Amino acid sequence: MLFKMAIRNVFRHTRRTLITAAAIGVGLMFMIMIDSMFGGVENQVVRNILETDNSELVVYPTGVFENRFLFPLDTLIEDASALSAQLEADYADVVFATPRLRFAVFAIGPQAELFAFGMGIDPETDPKVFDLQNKIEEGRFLEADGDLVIGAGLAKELNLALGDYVLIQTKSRRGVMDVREYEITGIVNTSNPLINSNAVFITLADAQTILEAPAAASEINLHVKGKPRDTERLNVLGSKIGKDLGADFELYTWYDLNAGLFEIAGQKQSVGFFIAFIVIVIALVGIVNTMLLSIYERIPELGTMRAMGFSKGNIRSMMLAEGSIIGFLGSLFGVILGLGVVTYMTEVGMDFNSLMGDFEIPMPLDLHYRGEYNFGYMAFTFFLGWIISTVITLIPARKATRIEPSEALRST
Amino acid sequence: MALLTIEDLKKDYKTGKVITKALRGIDLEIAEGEFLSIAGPSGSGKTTLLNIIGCLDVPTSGTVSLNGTDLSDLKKKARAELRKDSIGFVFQSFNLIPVLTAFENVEIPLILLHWDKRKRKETVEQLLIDVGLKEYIHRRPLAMSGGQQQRVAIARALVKDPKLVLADEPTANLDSTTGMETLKLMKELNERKNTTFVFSTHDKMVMDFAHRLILLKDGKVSSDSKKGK
Repeated sequence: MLFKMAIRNVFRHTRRTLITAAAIGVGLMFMIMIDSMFGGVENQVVRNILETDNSELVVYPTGVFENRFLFPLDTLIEDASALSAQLEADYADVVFATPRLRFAVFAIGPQAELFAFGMGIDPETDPKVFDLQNKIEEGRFLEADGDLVIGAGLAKELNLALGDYVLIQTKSRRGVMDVREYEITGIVNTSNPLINSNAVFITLADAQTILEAPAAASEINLHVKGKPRDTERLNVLGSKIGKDLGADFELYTWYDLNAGLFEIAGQKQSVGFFIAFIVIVIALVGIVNTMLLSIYERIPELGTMRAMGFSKGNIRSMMLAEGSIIGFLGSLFGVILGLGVVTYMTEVGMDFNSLMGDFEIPMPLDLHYRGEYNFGYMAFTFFLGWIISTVITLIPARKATRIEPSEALRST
Repeated sequence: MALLTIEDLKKDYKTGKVITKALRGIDLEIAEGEFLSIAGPSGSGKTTLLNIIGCLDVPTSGTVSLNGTDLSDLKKKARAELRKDSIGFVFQSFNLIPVLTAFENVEIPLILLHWDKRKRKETVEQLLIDVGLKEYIHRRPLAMSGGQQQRVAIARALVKDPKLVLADEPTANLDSTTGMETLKLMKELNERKNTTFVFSTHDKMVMDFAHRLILLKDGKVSSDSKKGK
């Protein structure tokens, strides 16, 4: 009977109920939208990193990790291709392995010159781990020694086009200055600004020759089975391989290598959730307000109920049921609305290309932004909205239970 | 033995520093099956007296015993239990729960007393037929006239067979014909079930209809006259 009364009370003022439920719904929709937005951003960042820069697990010579952006040549992995093959053979979870040799370069064009970094990659094994070959905007991917692929942004800065010549100046492992002329055989355009604006790719063999580091590499990238986001599993596998390889090597996950990036994303996410929290609070104030209004309107009725023998518990239960019904409707509405927005963001996406023009986001992010479905979070949001709406109703319910029947009946 | 015994009942209301003496020492005995009217001008203490008898309020001093139970000693929960078990209320504004049908309004006291569903249905339907509302069983209060609503309220007050029914100005919101019909209905039920009815009123028709008339003035009984059944 109490629940029946609660349902009917909720729809006594249908418009008021629907407005309150809509406020809750909009709040939850924002939460779902923000989660989808950040999920989508994180997905893109992870994908772009894994497709261009680091694989899931990376082997470094011990001590290099901290200084990796200085491209030290004094500590390299010797006989890197052999070690790559060995890792592929020894570990079932390692699907492919490829060595990369990074080094600092001075790229010189006819009209401009810029500091950049060079990357010697194996044209045979690198495409098994990374996806650079599918990001060639013009020309072709590396095929033979003497080929050079340049980041689209760097080419633009240097005012270079496909078929132009670029001088690559670097210092060998022994400190010998080397300058070589390359014809640009490919221009790579990725959503990773690090690659786009700073990288030149040559074959691993070429790099080893220039740097006087035969068979060496600065890192070995391992493409492993399973979900890349399962960093716990990656850490376990990394520890195992590291232990087997001995003290000369260290393994890091893609997450370790880009922790700074995710720290920023984490802060932005906190801001996003703070905004969502504020919206939710506003919605909940709405439900308290609606319930209080409903109680003030029903004082004589509640007094009559108390006079008839309804206990405080009965009144509280009825009020909680009313808040719960509004919360349920609002949460359902929010999830449906949120699903609609997320579907649009994920399936259609938002294209910021024309808006951003030449401006480059300092993150490996696509300008055609897409969201992410997170049904678990939608379910969480639904129950969160429903439970909080019910719990918050304790405040007006307390007011209702404190109504003294004699005083309430006096106001009839 | 009297159903209700009231001795030196006093009630003060305090508003800030102002104390209003609503009841200044009431002594009364009400027997089972009485059809009694408490009358008096506004502010004479009628509603206050009814509220205390009905366990809706507590006295400042004095005692009220219902069937030998001293109401002034009871805690809130026990008073609520007593209201639920033994007292029926009829209000001036009917005070039906608008979201419930006539049937559901009358059914509530039985739900609170944990009657089984089948017995509830039989009892409520029969009572609504008795009060002449056979056609209105599934109507909500707002779809009924004032007289019909008051009949539902009377049925609700009587459905649990209480020892005492308290009616606060039950005809005040009804026209004289409907008011008379309502009074007749209550009298019929009083005679049939031997339920004690206590009204507060300043309606002459109600005063004339009652078997016993108690007049209150300034919180005291100024006269107590019995007409007999």
